[in-house]
This record gives sequence, C-alpha cells and structure tokens, in this order.
Amino acid sequence: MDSQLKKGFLETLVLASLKYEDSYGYKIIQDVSQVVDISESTMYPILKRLEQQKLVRTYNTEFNSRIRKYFKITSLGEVRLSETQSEFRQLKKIYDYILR
Amino acid sequence: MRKREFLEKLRTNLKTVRNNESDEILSYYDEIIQDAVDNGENEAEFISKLGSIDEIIETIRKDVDFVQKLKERRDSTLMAAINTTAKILGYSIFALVTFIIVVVGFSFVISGVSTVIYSSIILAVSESSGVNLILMRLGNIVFGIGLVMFALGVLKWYFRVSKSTVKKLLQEVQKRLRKEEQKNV
Repeated sequence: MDSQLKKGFLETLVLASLKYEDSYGYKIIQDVSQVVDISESTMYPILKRLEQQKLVRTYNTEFNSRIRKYFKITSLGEVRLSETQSEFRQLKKIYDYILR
Repeated sequence: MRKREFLEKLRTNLKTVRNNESDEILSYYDEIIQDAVDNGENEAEFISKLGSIDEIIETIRKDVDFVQKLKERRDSTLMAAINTTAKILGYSIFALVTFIIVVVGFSFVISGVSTVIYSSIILAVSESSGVNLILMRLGNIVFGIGLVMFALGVLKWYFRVSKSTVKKLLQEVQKRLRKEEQKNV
C-alpha cells in the first residue's frame, strides 16, 4: 500500500485498537500489525502525536517489577474516532461500488 | 546486539537530534524489548528487527521537523489573528476618542453660545451688570474651548483619512525627484 495513505490510517488504527481496552506499546504494535505492516520506530511518533493532540492519555502501571506505560483513549479521542468512522462508512460505499 | 548495548547506542545517537524527549524514547524501546522478551521472543532477534539505530534516528528526526513546521504554521496564524485584533482595537479606540472630543466640543459650543446670548439679553434688559458680565465672559471662554475641541476632533479624523492620500502624494513626489536625478546623471 502507498506509504502516505498508510500513515493517514495509522492514527485511526491506534485509536480503534484502544477503543475497548487500554493497551501498551508492544501490544498496540501487535494488534495493528494484524492489518498493516508497522515497525516499532514508526509507532513511537504516532503514539506521541496522539498524546499531544490529547486524543489519548498515558499512565504507568507496575508489571513484573518494571514500569509499563499504558495508553487510554480520551473522550476527545472517542469523538475523533467516531467522526472518522462515519467518514469511512461513506468511503466504504464508494469502494464497494468501485470494487463490485 | 543485547538490550543494554542497543539502548546505550540509541542514547548516544539521540544527542544529535534536537528534541527533549530522549528519556521517553529510550524507555519506549526499553519497554517494548522487555515486553517482546516476556512474550517469548528472542532479545537479539527482536532488536535486529527494530532496524538500525540510524533508521530509528532518521524517523525521529523527520517527526521532529514535522512537529516543528506544524508549530511554526500555528504560530504565524496566531500572530496574524493578534495583529488584526490589535488593529481593530486601535481603530475602535481612535474612533471613540475622536467621537467623544467632537461631542464634548459641540456641547461646549452650544452651551457657550447660549450663555453668551442669555447674559447679553439680561445685560441689555437690566442694569445689574456684575454677575452677568462674568457669566458672559465665561460663556465666551466655554464657546472658545468648544470650538477648539470640535476642530481638533474633525482635524484628527481628517488626518486619519487623508494620511493615505498624503503618503501617495509623497511617493509620487519622490518618484519624480528620482527621475529627475536619473536624468541629471
């Protein structure tokens, strides 16, 4: 897939992966990797940007006597996600028509 | 490469990127390597999958540039908004002050004139001059002040309006002078 196109999807993919439960770096990468190829180094700036835009917030939890950083979708993030979802629903109609 | 070595190299290379989140980046990699190992992956293998340090640094550098550009663009929009607001505010204050001066000047003129007329009528009708003479002079003074203020306000407004005309005129004069100079050379 075109890398620019993929980049546009990544933020939404991460938000979607956080929709039902909080998650941490390694797990988010694993989840998102199921649908697109993404490297660990690409994921860092995406998480950072989501945090800067206040679409996600982070908190630290102790796990196996070390600190793990968890990401949680904010209400602003939920709004953004549902906006994107309704856009994608419209797009899906277009894709379906083209791909029929 | 083991985790400690990888993180050490990353730390050294991060110094070449202008960013203030080196610690955050290092703990991000530290955490995902740990999580991968806990998940049963081979440490060295996973680290080699992360790509070279140079590639990682390059990704961060690109993102820093991107965020910087975004910030600059936001700043310039903000500055434009502030400038416009300041201009509107300045002009409103100017208009208000001019309006007040003109109004007060106008009322001074009216009250001055009426006082003068009133006191001169009284003076003409009755003999008692003392108080009315003072009143008439007072009316004269008030009338004068009012006239000056009124004129000031109107002039101020006029200058504001004609400033651009004067500027254009000056530019025209300068242009002609320059042409003359060139001719002489």
